Amino acid sequence: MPIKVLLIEDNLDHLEISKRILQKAGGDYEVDSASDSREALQKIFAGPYDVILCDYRLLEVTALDILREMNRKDIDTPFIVVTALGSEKIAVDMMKEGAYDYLIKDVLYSDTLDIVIKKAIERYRNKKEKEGLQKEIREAYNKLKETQDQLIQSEKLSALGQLASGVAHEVRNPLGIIMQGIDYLENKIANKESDIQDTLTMLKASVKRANRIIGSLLDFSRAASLDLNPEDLNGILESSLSLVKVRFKFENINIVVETKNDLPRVMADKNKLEQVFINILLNAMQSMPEGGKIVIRAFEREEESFQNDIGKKIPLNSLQPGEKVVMVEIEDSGPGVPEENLKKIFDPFFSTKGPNGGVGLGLSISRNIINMHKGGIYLESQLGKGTKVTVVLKIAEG
Amino acid sequence: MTKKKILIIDDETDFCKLVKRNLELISDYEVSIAGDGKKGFKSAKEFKPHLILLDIMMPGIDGLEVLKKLKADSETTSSVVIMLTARGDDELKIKAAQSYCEDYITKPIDAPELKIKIEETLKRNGIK
Ligand SMILES: Nc1ncnc2c1ncn2[C@@H]1O[C@H](COP(=O)(O)OP(=O)(O)OP(=O)(O)O)[C@@H](O)[C@H]1O
Ligand SMILES: [Mg+2]
Repeated sequence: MPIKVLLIEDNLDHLEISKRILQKAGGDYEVDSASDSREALQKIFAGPYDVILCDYRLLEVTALDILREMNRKDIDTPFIVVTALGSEKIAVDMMKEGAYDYLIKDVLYSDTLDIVIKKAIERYRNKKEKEGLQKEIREAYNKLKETQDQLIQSEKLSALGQLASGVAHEVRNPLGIIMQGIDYLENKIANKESDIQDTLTMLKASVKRANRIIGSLLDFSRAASLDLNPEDLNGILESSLSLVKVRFKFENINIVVETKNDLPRVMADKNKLEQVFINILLNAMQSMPEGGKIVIRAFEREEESFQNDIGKKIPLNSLQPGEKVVMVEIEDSGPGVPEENLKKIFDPFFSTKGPNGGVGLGLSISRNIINMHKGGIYLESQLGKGTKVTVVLKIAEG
Repeated sequence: MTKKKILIIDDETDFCKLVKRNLELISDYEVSIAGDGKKGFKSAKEFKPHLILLDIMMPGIDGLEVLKKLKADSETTSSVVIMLTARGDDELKIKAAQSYCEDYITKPIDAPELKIKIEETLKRNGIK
């Protein structure tokens, strides 16, 4: 491979001399030239060159201006400045600005030009190699860190899981007794005053509420282990929808499903993913007691767009460059989430639904589950307009 | 028509008592109770219940063991068993029990629901 050199020099005689020196040097040079700064920058941007040799004093500008312009554009081609005898100070300033080396136009110029260029190129290669290594190390570190975080997280969850099932057993037994007791009293007390009936009804509702909390706690901790298989996302969305429709009655809610039939399979724990969609759908429905519209979309996306879109919310280091993902959007036409709540909605036990409404674990369980899938989940909302929850999932390999 | 007999085996004796009271109040079953696995197995032999409500987690012989003994014994094998669990997360045990038992119930359950579950299970098993 020839070494591509760009000579920037407004003195045509000097240009000729430099060209000739390089030809004679025998090194395999491919020389291009520019005689003013505009032409120089045009060529540099069109690049790439292996090395740039630039006379310090050009017509209206200096080599420093060109170098700065290159820095601004993140062009790091080795840059060598050529100065007249006696201007070493300028050369030093240039090096501070990122120039690789300098050459002085004196008797030694012809002997050193070839060497200085080769040295600069070698330094550049070393630098690139080092940067490459550093990048590899950084990536390896990030991977390690991520694995470690996941380990800690699953350790925590499994400890929590044991605790939760212990608590469930200890609490559900007495709840069972209270429930039976209430039923007994309800049947035994004939001609009840309405206050008594009311009291019993409240007791029963409280037992159910306590039981629901236990159930959520179990769900929360159970995210610790996943049974991952390649799954058909449309199937999971459908079964989640029908489960929601069977279990909860909502009127005047219009559900529109816009998914592609040929979606690739995703790596997922079917039951847990269903739980996620059920939580999201329920939230959407609960936000619209008077009715409204829910749109469900699912589509495939490529990694390129992550930086500005998906990349905001999904840990990028869990995705490979060029990797494709499937995105599911569930959008409602409800009242939306106020700005000050947006940061808290994924927190465990954050709920605005009052004592008989929610436990506040729906979204935090969902996020746990999606994190375990190495995917992403995020919520965007506009007050008065609606809320959109997006779930990003990895595609099953092969 | 003779009364259907139900046996409850659970170490939560208050639960047993109250379920007995409720069933006797709202249904026409004859209910007997036992506070641990050993007593439960014994009374299953003597009482010959049509249906047994059996708690999974009990000190001593746990529910799964009792279930296997009941099914292995010719005198008790025909009693239909519904397992009781308070955890809601012992799927593994329930799976293990599934080939022997009819169904399972997670506590807390209210009396009318329990009554329906028992009725359905008896009917499904042709016990009229
Ligand atoms: N689609 C939505 N529209 C408006 N607010 C929402 C929506 N989804 C979530 N929220 C807000 O976020 C809060 C937390 O939601 P999350 O699902 O975690 O708990 P919850 O629904 O209150 O209780 P749970 O899900 O445990 O029954 C909700 O209480 C609600 O204020
Ligand atoms: Mg919710």
